[in-house]
Amino acid sequence: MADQLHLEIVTPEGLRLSEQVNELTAPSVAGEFGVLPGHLPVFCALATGIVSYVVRGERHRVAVGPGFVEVADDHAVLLTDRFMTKDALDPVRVRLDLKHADEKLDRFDGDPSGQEYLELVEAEQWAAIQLELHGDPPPPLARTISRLHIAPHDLGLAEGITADEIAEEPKS
Amino acid sequence: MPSLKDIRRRIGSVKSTQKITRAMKMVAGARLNRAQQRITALRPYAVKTHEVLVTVVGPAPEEGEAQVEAQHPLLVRRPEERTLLLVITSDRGLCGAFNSSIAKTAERLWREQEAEGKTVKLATIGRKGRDYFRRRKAPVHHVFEGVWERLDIEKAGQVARELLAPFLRGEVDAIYVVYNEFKSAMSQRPVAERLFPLEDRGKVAPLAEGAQREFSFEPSREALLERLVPMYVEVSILRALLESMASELGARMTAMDSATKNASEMIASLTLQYNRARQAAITKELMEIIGGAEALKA
Repeated sequence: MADQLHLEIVTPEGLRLSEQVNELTAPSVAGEFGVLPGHLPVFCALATGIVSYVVRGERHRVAVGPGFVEVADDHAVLLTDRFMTKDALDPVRVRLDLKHADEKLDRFDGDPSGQEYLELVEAEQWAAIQLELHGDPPPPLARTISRLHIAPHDLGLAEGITADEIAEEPKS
Repeated sequence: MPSLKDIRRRIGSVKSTQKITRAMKMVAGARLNRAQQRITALRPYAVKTHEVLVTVVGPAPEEGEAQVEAQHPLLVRRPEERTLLLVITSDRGLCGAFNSSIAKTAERLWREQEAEGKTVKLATIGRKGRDYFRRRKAPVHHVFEGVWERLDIEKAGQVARELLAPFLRGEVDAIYVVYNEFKSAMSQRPVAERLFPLEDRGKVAPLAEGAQREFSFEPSREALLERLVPMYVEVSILRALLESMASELGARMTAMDSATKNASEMIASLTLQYNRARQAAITKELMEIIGGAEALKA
């Protein structure tokens, strides 16, 4: 089985995906990364984004929320709170969610580093990523968060630049 | 001796009560199935989270790692002097001894720890527990409301954050959770577990020799722990909540089943009493008629 690796996606609602794949791409907090069979053991924190994998030459895409992935011995275990496939997605509802989250964020006047704000931004990102999966991505988001405090050197960047600033750069 | 009409009315009222208890039993049974499915569905996630945590914390405590552990605010261990008890009860009653057994277990733990000289604070989930400890003027630190209305991982996350905050501020040294463990629809067991800090290294199931390997961590291990430890607590809380929900439904099902049975018995004995009274009335009437006839003859 050197040319395949086993991908499992586990959420609190159960095992959502279990498949032999040839290639895997996942959104880590420090950017997308790919895994091929025979990858060295790695443990990564994931951001909200799209996981794509190749089965018999066919590429599949699913949306996941923040979580972790552990790769070892051609086994990839992905833990996340949220999981959505293109087929199960209801674009109307998701657009509504996005609108609600956006409105709340625009009116938000509490602590922008508080938990409430983080949750709202997370909801917004989750809705946006689902729409992207649907094939109709909303305009790039200005807000971004990470639940992890990543030191700049972890990202291989110069001191003083935070993850937020990087994501905001394209807009300004 | 109640009149025939009184007995008839009582039979009617017991019958309608029985209808309600029977319906409650059916509803609890249906919801219990769903709750059990959710517990089963959560299991792989809980197991994996635990495995992953073991991977990140490291398989064996070595010199260097011990330092990481000591430094990280979530892994720090202090002598257990101030504790926080999370008591999980239900919002609604009519479920047998479910809430009172939990309240008693929690109270015992609270008194025990106080006797050991610890400062104990309580946090409650569910209306029943809140009321119980409020009446006893217990030091309730936090009351979680509306947890049962929509129970999911996010709710569990909110609870976890709220509980971990005093730990991180250094106000609390250990967190315990008291909940009903679901054994079967018939039996539930109140348990008290230490939720936090995590089990000792030795107890965190050591991986098989071959599985111990060098992972590369991205981002740093400390950053991962920052998120992973609360996630583990979150899952533990969700599991306790789901177990408690299943137990509550099981307890209610059993309680309503025996209530329905008791109602049947009561209806049977009331019917007997009714028939006897009816018989007595007929006999009395006959006696009167016969008496009247005799009187005419004389």
